[in-house]
Amino acid sequence: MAGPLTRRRLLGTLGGVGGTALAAGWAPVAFSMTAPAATKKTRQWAMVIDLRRCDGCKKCTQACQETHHLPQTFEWIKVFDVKDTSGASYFMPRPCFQCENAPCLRVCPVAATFKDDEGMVLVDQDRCIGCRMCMAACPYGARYFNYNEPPQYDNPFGHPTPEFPVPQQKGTVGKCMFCVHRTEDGVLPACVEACGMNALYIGDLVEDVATNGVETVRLSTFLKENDAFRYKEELGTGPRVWYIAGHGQLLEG
Amino acid sequence: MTRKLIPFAAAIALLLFFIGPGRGFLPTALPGRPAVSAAPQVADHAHDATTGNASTIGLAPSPVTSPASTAARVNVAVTAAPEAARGYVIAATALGPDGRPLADAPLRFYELVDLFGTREMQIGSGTSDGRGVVTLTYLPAQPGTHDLVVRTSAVGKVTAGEGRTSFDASVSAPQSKVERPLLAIFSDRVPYAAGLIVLSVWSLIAFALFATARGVIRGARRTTRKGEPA
Amino acid sequence: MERRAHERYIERAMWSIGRGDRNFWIAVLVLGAMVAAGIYAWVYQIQRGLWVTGLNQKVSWGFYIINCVFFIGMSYGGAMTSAILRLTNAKWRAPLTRLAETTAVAALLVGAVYPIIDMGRPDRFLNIVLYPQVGSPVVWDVVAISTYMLASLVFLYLPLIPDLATTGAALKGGKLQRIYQLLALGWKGTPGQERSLQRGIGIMAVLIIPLAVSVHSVLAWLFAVTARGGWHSTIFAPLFVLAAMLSGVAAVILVVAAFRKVYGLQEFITAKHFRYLSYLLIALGVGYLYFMVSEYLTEGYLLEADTTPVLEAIFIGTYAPAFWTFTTVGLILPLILAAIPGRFPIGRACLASGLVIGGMWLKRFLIVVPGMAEPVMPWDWGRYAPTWVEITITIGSAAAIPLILIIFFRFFPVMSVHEMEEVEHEPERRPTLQPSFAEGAGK
Repeated sequence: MAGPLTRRRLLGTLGGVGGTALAAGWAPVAFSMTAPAATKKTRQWAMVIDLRRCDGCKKCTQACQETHHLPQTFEWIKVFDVKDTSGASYFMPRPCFQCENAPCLRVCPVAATFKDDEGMVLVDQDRCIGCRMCMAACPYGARYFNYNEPPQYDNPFGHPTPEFPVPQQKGTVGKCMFCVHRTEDGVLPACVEACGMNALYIGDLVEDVATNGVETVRLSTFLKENDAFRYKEELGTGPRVWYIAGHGQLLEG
Repeated sequence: MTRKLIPFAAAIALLLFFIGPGRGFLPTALPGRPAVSAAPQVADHAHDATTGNASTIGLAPSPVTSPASTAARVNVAVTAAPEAARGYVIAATALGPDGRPLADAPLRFYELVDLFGTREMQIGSGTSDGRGVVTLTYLPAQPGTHDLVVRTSAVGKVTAGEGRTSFDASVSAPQSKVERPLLAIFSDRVPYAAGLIVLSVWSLIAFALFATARGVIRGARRTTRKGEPA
Repeated sequence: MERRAHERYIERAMWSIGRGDRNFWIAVLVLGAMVAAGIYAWVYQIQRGLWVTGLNQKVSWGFYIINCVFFIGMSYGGAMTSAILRLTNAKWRAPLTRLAETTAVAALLVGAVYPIIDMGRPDRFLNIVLYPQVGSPVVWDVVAISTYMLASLVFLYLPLIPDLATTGAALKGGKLQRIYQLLALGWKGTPGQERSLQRGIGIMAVLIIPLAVSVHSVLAWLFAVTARGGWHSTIFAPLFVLAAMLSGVAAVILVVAAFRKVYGLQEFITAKHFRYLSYLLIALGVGYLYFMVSEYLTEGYLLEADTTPVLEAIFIGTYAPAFWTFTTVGLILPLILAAIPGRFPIGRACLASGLVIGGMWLKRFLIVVPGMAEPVMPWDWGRYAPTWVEITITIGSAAAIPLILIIFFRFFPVMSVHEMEEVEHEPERRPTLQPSFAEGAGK
């Protein structure tokens, strides 16, 4: 580049070089910013319920009702007193199974029931029209309809969301959502935390791990070694809740 | 004169490049963890394994010991399994405080997982043999870095101890697939076909109504042969 | 048909138009009061919520869904009598078609309101239109019912056009006459117009049959696509369609008999019509019995765990009285009544139809409630008892149908003049007037 050096040309050259350097420096950052953040994991939640340990105390039901400000008739996790064909009597907690092939999802006329990216089946109570088709379709009786005005509660986050549908809305359907409003903050679901026998495990199918708050196990091994089963498997709903067969035999005393 | 400025400009550029916003893309070399891409190495190790010469993937850093000198130590080494599909072999050696192998020591293997906080997930256990070794074949659920802890409980006068390591896994268990039945693809589309039928039915009804109306109205405009009043 | 009989036909067909006599107003008052009570109960429910019904977490569908299926089923009389008989060229249908088509529309209007009554959030009804999920049977339901309603209205209107012209011509003048003439689209009976009309009616007659089949099939799939024992049955769609046709024909028999008596149509609607309608009733009833036997035999033979509780409940359990009442008094007895030859054909046909309609309501109850009450989990059977709200709404909606009919026939002929001429191949006729009719017009 020939010619006398003027102030303009100096500044121009510096600016050009500096700008190029800046751009060269920013570019990789810009690219990494558009790439998905590696910090938030994609979970696929699942639960394991150890029937060898459930003592039917219903603390899970209570904790769920308290956390979500539910009326007493709403048992989003319900503990059944079962007598099976071999005569054994045991307790079976039943949350919503968050089925892979959920019947309730398909039959909702307004898609108020939907699946989030963690595989959880959620209900948008702002859209629900209360036709109760999902309740007819659920083979596990896991859905509850707000016939009456539900208990009022001042939601600190403002409006209730499908992840935290508190307070419930009258004339709509509600159900267990694996406490996604807690798990997204790294807190155990209310029922898992409340279980005194540590019989409820919450796990991740992607990372293949589950914990009951005290003990952490490799999910697939835990299921295989303990002959876990799913309830009404033949219906093809693909539940995300496994049961470890038992009749309370691990309870002490 | 501009030519003299070029090195000056280059210096500024380099400065901005390294300490400016461009920092983020510098190679991440976190302490104690070699950034090794294990894929080609696994193949090599598979060959080596036949000759019994598997080289270590993970480092064996100095074991964390309890302050007491009676604590055991555990050395953990991770190598690729002979059949690559089986994952990795974790060899844990329990040593006494004097460095001699600890036999009949109950060892438990844990992996550190991030699930509602950092937790230890038990992946295996065993009792050490005469050489103080327990091996565990482990196929991780996901590729990436895995942190392991191996603990031993007290054996005789030797108190409990542990050893830790990390390794990068490229072989992992196949991901559990979302089980949507194949036919669901078909049944998802059928309602749209039905929608087409519905649309054609509505147009037929509209045709029946409006074509008839038009025909009747048109017929009314033409006078009848008998000229009857309406 | 000879000329005088023809004129008498027209006279009787238009007898009710403009006739606001005391009986009319008493009927309107009584029926209107029942409808008003039903509306009051509905408003009561909207204000307070669905807890005023007998529904609960186990039995979440009850009277409203039963009534929806029931009333829409009753609307099949139009498709059966008007469309199928037209396509099979059964001449005896002519005096019945108007009554049948109007009953169909009235029953459909009432039945189609029930899903809204049943909703927890009826204010969000538009969500189905705004955010439909096409895989949902409820959406199929809304689409099918609205399409069928549109088709029924068109199918009622098209054959009405010539009668509108006749009625309009018979009026003295005024706004009412203008409305009739407007709706009649200038019908004169020319060959060109006849062709257009026949084509339109023909299309609708052919279309309304698959539409009718689709509506009740979709209603059946509302139940059959769930995994509940007693509901997840492949025969549900044909079963519902046949049940609807049966209740539709029974409804037509009752309506025709009632209007025949009150409006003096005895000359033109005779025992022969009731005999033929009874044959239809018997054929459909036997077919329905066959479908029932097929379903219960298939389920009962294997006695699988999910279907056995419902079978037990309806054969020997809580719902056994209702089931056996339906089977004997509501299905087999009416068929025998209608089939045996003898005296009082019309009376027997009416009794049989009344029993069939009651039986059909019971059967819908036996489909919905045990299916909902049966335990899907290891808990007890659910229980359901309707409250006054549900019963009042039911009565009000049932009263709405004759109310709609009476008001409709105040303005339109109760028998189709044009259709009678069509089957008799009558030439173009002149609209004639009866003095009393002309004076009474416009009231």
